[in-house]
Amino acid sequence: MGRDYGNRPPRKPAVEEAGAGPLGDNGPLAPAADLRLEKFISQVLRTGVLTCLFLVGIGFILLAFHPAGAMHMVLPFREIFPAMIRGQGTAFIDLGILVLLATPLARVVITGIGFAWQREWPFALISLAVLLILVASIIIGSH
Amino acid sequence: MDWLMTAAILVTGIGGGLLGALVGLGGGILVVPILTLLLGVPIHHAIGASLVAVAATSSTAASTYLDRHLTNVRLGMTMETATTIGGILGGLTAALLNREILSGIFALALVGMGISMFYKVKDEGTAIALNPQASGFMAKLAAAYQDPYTHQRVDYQVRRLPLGLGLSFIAGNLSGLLGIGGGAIKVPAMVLLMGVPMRVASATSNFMIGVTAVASAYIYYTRGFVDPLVAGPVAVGIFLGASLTPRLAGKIDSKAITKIMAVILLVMAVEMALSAFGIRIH
Repeated sequence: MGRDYGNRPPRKPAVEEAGAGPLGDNGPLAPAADLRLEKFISQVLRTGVLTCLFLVGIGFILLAFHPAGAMHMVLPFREIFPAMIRGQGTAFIDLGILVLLATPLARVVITGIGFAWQREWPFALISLAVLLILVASIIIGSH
Repeated sequence: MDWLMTAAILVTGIGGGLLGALVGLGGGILVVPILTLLLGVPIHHAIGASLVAVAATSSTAASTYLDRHLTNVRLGMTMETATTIGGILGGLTAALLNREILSGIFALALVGMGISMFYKVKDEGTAIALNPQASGFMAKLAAAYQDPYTHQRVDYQVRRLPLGLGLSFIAGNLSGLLGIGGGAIKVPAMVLLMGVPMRVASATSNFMIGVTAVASAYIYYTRGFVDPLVAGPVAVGIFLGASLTPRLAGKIDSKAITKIMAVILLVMAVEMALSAFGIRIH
């Protein structure tokens, strides 16, 4: 069943870009801005996880050469980069874990900005609230 | 550097990720008892590692579901306000509890999960009654998705949000306390009580779990309960295990696996309960 588009050329529905397949007769599943945001969040999540796996992998390869550098505690943040330069394997694993723990945080920030961009203020505020709760958990934990 | 231990932790992660993903659990529920009972990892470190791994698998799965446009991002974000607060409180509580009490609570959770596996929510599209009265905020939570198998467009609305928020809080609390995802509570709550279709519920649950897990993981991290030599291999292992699952899913009788899992969970529950009283079988 084709829709009558009049004189205008049929516009490719935005949802097909998101790989959702053929559509029914009710138009796109969501506004194009939503689908773009979902795609972007998805890429951020995947990048975060792959970066973590890469760093943990490097960390264990380095530990194979210098097993003495193995630490059972995550280093304080400011000591991680100097330790990485010294080639300490666990520092790479530490950074991988921190990247992983930062990924959902980044996701919340990006979703919030996306909602603000669309002027969806209730959801922008909700995202801000979740962000503040996460920041609070870091602060509460360190006291 | 104990390579045998590292290999054992990695294999534990792969097994937990594989089995967990096959039956729709995060993997933490299997990994924590194996790490503590078989490998002698302190339970707080096992839970810390599990939370890190949950963040990895949830982000990976959430990414796939987002690409298929199954996730309700607005609903997920709204429910996250409750799960994260629950997660922080759970994490703080766990830090105060000793090993024995935490093992006991974990044993109870295993029993609950084991029993619920026998009565698993059917993984089929649920008929949704549209609520035409929805307006304002609730109307914005309504969405549509395309079922990947029937290729039909499904429109749905969300009901009973306050109840959903309450249950998300409890799910977050358990996540922070025990290092499990909490999807076993959130998915049935969304499907049975809030009128969310099954596929959307599991996609949205996965979307939330990562944020819930890190809310409590920060507490474990700052309290020194994240051991890179445990959390690193567990995260990689669970990621690998969960990635292998789609290749196996079609070839395995998922009903049989679910029953086997239920039995495994109950056996682990007994061992965890015994260890809570200081009795070790191994």
